[in-house]
Amino acid sequence: MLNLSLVFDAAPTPAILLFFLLALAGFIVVIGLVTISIIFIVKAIKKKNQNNLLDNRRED
Amino acid sequence: MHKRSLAIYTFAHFATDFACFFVLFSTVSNGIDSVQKLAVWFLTYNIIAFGLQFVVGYICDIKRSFPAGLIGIIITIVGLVFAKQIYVALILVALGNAFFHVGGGIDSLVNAKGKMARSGVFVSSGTWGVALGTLAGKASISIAYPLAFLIVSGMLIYLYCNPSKINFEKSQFHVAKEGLPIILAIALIFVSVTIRAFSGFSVPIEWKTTALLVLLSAFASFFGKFTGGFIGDRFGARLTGVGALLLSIPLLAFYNDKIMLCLLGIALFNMTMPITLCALAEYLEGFEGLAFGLTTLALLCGTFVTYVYVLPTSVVKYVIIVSIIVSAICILLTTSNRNVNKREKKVEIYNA
Repeated sequence: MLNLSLVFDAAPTPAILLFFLLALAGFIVVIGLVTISIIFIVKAIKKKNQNNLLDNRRED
Repeated sequence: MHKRSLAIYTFAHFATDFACFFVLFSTVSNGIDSVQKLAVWFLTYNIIAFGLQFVVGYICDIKRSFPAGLIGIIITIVGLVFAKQIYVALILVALGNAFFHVGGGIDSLVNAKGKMARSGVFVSSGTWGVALGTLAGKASISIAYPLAFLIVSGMLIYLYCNPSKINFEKSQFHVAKEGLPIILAIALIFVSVTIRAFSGFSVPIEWKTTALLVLLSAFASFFGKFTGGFIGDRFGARLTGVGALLLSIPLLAFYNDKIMLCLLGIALFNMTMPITLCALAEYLEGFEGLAFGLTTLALLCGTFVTYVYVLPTSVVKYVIIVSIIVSAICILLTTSNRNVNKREKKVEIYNA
């Protein structure tokens, strides 16, 4: 994997500022993905519980 | 049938990662002039390839006949063919990677019959794909090699691993700790994988200077993932997961400059991969695709930090020690040795 810390040692240039902005955008995207994953997990757990309930009823 | 699909997906995993890293280190690395741009595009690749797997996985869980593996191979082939258009190629191979991993990952979990070894075997071949693909990309070998690997993989998956023709079984893992709230258990496993990814990428491995040493390092990682599942099946998930992580601490924190000891540390460190994956799959039984995707999302979160910030050398070893201990605690809290206890009970019944 590429080491971006090399970039931080250089003097601030428009390119570095752009990099910061893009890294920030990347961070926001990752946080967004984690948030969406939580929604999916909750949905999956609900569905799993429903299925378990149905299985139990069938067994009864 | 199930062993054949494991063999095919394991080879296809190698082929997909080989093709992706071939594109990354040939076309993309040569075609982008500045370090910043290159870094951003590598990050974009990781976000697409690792970050979208849980979405694809969820779709596969809802519609079990969705041929994610085959679609992944086809998208990767298209990306490879369009390799001259750098950005298109990068996005396509990343998407292909995401689709394929989910397809193969689901196969490795739902057909496991409670054995962690299967997922370890499937994931381990990716290490060779990454290492050899990187070397092949840097050496600018012919595109025919990754293309041939992918075409063979695609044909084999189409002929023998079509999800619509497979009768999916339950994964039947017995590695998760009972009585723990599911959402808490998932969060702990997610944290464990994230921290493990972060500490794994923070270990300063300065001796990896030649192709041979890169391959040796890849072998250690492969060996750890490959054997982790078998050892977990034999000695229990918790014992293997926690034990391997704790044993790796001194090797990675204090002896990372000694090649053999560091290789042993890498192998031990990677043994926990099938354990966390299978524990998550058990907590999310019926949603194995989502479980697989969550582990890669956790990997993305862990590696993201190492992309933008490298720890000062004076604190690296302490951070590695603390983070591996935290990761081990998370595994301790979420896994059990039920898989071994269950087998022993069965033996007792037969003996009686």
